[in-house]
Amino acid sequence: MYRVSNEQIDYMLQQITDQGISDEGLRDSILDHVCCLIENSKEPIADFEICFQSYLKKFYQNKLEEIEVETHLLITFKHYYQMKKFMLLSGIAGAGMLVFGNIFKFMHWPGASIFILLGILLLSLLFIPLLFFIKLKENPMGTQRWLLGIGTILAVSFCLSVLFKIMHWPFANILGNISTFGAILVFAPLYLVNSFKSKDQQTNAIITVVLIVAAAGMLYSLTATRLSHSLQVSPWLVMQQNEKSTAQFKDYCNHIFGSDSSEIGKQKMAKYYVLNQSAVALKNYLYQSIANTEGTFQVETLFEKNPNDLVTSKLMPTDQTQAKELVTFEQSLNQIYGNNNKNTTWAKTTLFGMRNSDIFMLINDIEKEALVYLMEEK
Amino acid sequence: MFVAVKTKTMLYSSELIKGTLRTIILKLLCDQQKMYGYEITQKVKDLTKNRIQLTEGALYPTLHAMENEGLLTTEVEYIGKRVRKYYSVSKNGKEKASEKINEFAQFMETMRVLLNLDLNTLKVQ
Repeated sequence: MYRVSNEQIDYMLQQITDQGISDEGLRDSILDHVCCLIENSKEPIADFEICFQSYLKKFYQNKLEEIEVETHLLITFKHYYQMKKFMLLSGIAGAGMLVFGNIFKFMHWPGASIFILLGILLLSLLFIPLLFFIKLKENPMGTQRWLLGIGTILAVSFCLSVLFKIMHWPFANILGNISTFGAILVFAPLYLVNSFKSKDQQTNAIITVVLIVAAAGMLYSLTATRLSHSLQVSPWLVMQQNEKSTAQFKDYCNHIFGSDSSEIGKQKMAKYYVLNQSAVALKNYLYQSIANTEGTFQVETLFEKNPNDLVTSKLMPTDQTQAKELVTFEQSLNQIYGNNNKNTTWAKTTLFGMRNSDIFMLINDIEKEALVYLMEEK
Repeated sequence: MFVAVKTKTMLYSSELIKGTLRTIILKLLCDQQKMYGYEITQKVKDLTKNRIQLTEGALYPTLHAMENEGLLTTEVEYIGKRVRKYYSVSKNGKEKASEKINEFAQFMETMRVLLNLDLNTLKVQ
């Protein structure tokens, strides 16, 4: 049996390295395999180098390097397929959750916002980035690389802007504007220029760009520049309802207190009227705030939270002139409750971050509660 | 094993072998505890009477990928200046082996139906 010498091993190792195998493990495997072939050869070895080269030639078709490329491909493509699978799953789950979230929302079932939140997060933070990495593995060249990167950033920021918008988080509009203007002013021209390199892509590229611009145009046509009819009407409806119920309570109040001609009864009646007047004034003020600012008015811009004091500083009016109605309302409540207001709706609620129409309702509730308290007080 | 080919010296096409290479490696290593690359090619050659000859260009990339995926474990032996890598199946690999063999058995059955092969006319080896 032929024995391979140490010098021959050095020579073979050098040859294998020179022919493009840089991975040490692979190099050792090939070397051992060739040595085995030579040592187990049935024919006598006349010229070692010729024999080695002829054996090594069996390892490949064109170049020895192929074996390393193939190894690399097999290893990375395994991840590639897993990534692809994961990407598809996250995409389907994200889109599905969005659809379910919206169905839940339309049906007023609980859990809608969680579905929508998860759906958008899945799409923007998992699906789109994974899509980016998978497309990157296909080795796009030059402009295509830029297109891929810019497209990913724009898509993620668009998704997040929608999420921020529905969650009433800050910077939603900025994000949305950046993504839509970015798509029209940066992505679309770059995409067009890139497509002009090959003629058969031109029509498709023009169609895509038209779709992008049209979608952005339609999105912006949804922007309300004036207060919509429903918004104008809804506070008014709430007002109407409130006034109706206040009138009912007034009647009820008269019925109860009217028969009570004592001094205490008259005092209670007076207190209630003060409360009722301030509540009406506050509701009017809120209504006008909405109307004047064309729907963009947010109560939280007027008040800031101060957790130190339960009642008086719970809502701190930062604009004293505009929010004085609130202070009057609060004072009239204090007149009724005195020091016993710890368990009332008013003491337990914070108006911070609430919608104006909800505040209308809440003021109404607080007023009713105060009236009941007045009547039961001895 | 059923073989539909009558000529004994015929080699199978590389496309056929490519799809079954992992199954072959896993099964061999399940039976033999540990083997190195050359040994695997020889064993396959012997068992199939030279009908399946694994090419090194296909074998080593697959072995390395399977090691990377955790299906195979390796140990290294030094023979002078040479390094010999022995492969054996991991726990995952054993599960994968039975999975692959079952899959292939079902595939053979499906192909038999699909190609309308009559087993009686096939030569049993």
